[in-house]
Amino acid sequence: MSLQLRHNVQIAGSGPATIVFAHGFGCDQTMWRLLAPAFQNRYRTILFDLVGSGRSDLGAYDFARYETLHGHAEDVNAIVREFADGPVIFVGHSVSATIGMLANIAAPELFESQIMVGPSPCYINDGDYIGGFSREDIDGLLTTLESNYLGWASTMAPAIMGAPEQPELADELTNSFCRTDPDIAKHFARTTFLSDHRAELDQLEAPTLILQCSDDLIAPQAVGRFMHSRIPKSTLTIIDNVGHCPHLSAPSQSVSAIEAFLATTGC
Amino acid sequence: MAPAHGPQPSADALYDNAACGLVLARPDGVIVRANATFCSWVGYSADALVGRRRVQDLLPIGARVFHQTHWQPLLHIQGSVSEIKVDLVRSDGRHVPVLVNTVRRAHDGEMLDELAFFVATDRHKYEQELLRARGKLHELNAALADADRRKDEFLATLAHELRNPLAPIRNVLHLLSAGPPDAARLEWSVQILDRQVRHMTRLVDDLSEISRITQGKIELRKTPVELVAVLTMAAETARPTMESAGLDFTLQLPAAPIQLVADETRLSQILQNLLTNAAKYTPQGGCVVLAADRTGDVVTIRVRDSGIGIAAADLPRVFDMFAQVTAARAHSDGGLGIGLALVRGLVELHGGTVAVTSEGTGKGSEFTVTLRVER
Repeated sequence: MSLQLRHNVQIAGSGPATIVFAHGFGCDQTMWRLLAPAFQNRYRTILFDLVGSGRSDLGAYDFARYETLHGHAEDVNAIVREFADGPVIFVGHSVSATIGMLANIAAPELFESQIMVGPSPCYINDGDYIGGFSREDIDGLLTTLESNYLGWASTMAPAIMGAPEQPELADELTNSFCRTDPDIAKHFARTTFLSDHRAELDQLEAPTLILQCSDDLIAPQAVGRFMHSRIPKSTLTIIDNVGHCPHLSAPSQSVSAIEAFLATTGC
Repeated sequence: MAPAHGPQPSADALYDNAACGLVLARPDGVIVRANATFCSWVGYSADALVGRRRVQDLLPIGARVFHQTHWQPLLHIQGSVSEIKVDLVRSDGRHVPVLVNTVRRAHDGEMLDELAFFVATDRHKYEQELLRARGKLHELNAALADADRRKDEFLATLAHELRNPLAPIRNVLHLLSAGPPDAARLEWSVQILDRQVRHMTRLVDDLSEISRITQGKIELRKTPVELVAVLTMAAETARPTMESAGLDFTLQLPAAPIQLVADETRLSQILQNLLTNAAKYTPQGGCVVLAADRTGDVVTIRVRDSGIGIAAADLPRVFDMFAQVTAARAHSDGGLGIGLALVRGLVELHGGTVAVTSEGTGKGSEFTVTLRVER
């Protein structure tokens, strides 16, 4: 299967540089629908689904390969090599911010800069480090996932009551988003929430924007400050927003913050 | 059907006492309105909820993460989301499993989330059942796959074992077909044929025995038996094998006779198999002990060796069919690995038990057969 089909790679826009958007845990590239179009008049944009999510090839989910985030990071580098044109700006949400960092450390020549949306290098509290969660919390999440995907996997009847305020939303979008194989969802959740890449932060040499929400359960502000103190060329910008998805709930603020950062990198 | 007339409850009363919890919340989760049903389910007054608590504040932490990673994004993208299954945390800390449907709509220009909660205690129980059953299914599938793999390995071993005697037999045939042999050559040929045919016969006998045991087709011919004599006889039969393997073989038998009701042939077969097994897996210079004693109505027979031992992980499978463990296979000069399965089958037919202990690899093993003295 081609890389394009494997990751459901979607290319749009044009410009001298490429922005690659990578979605976080739980959803797929649809996450970027309010953000990516804002850049498509000046940049080539690449959207894709991590293997195991969205409309990627679920059959390609190799449980051993994706036992760590490095498997996904290798995928990112393959996508960048195949589809990017000119300097590459990588925008990663949540766990994909870490994946982008690992990809960048493995192949620094591929990336111009990194934009991390709601990142966390380690979700579990560890001594003085505040990740926001205990190990028991993560087990609670896995249980919640299990009972939800149990129903969703077979029919996921989100007997959708329609999206009355969003008539423009394509029908085919409504049922696939967030849906995946329950075993994959659990495995990816485990890989994501038990990952610890604090030790690699100082190896990320590209200019990096850490874009954080003021009230984010998954990436508390202390995590943003920690990352900012460890990543050499980093900028920390905090958006006034509740939740973990500023690109959905505060898209214009997110676009402004990203544009301001890109202006400083001259790309 | 008659038209519905008579007193109608007001919309407010219908809302407040609906058969589901109804909540209106801002997109950031802050509760704007909650009906009486919901308030009673979570144990908070409307005043304690409205403007003071967010929907996510009523969720345990795992569900709050789910709220951020799935529920909220789905609402943003789809405008609605159904059949979310979470727990609500009551004011007293107890959890109430619920199903939630949410739709996001504009109310007088302001976007608000309408949430409907359904208590799902029973469904939750079924789900737990289902999850447990699924876990069990995974385990059974793994066990089945393992058994299947072992059967495949067994077939390969069987083919190998049955092929081994063919080469010497073919050599003899080749030689005999070249012309009438002299007396010495003839004797040599007969010896080879005899040895190889006996070997094959033993393999085939073991095979048919084990399949008869698994199909429940073996019937014991029980008669009064004197166990010490049977043990002594088995030891004498095994002694040449022990000696040629360079093993120190000792007996620790009681002086007094032990009367049993058993199938003597099968009893001998059990002992032969255990002793052969000990000889096979004990390196030269080691020792094998055959011991027996009687306590009350229970007779215990032990075969102890100083051989290669058994790793703790392999112990539970030693008596399974096709279970020859890896270390044993590397050490033995063949065999089908069904001898111990045969032992267990025959002992159980006698109403007895067989067990094995080992301190670990390289530390010897002890097989213990217990039988009841029938009165």
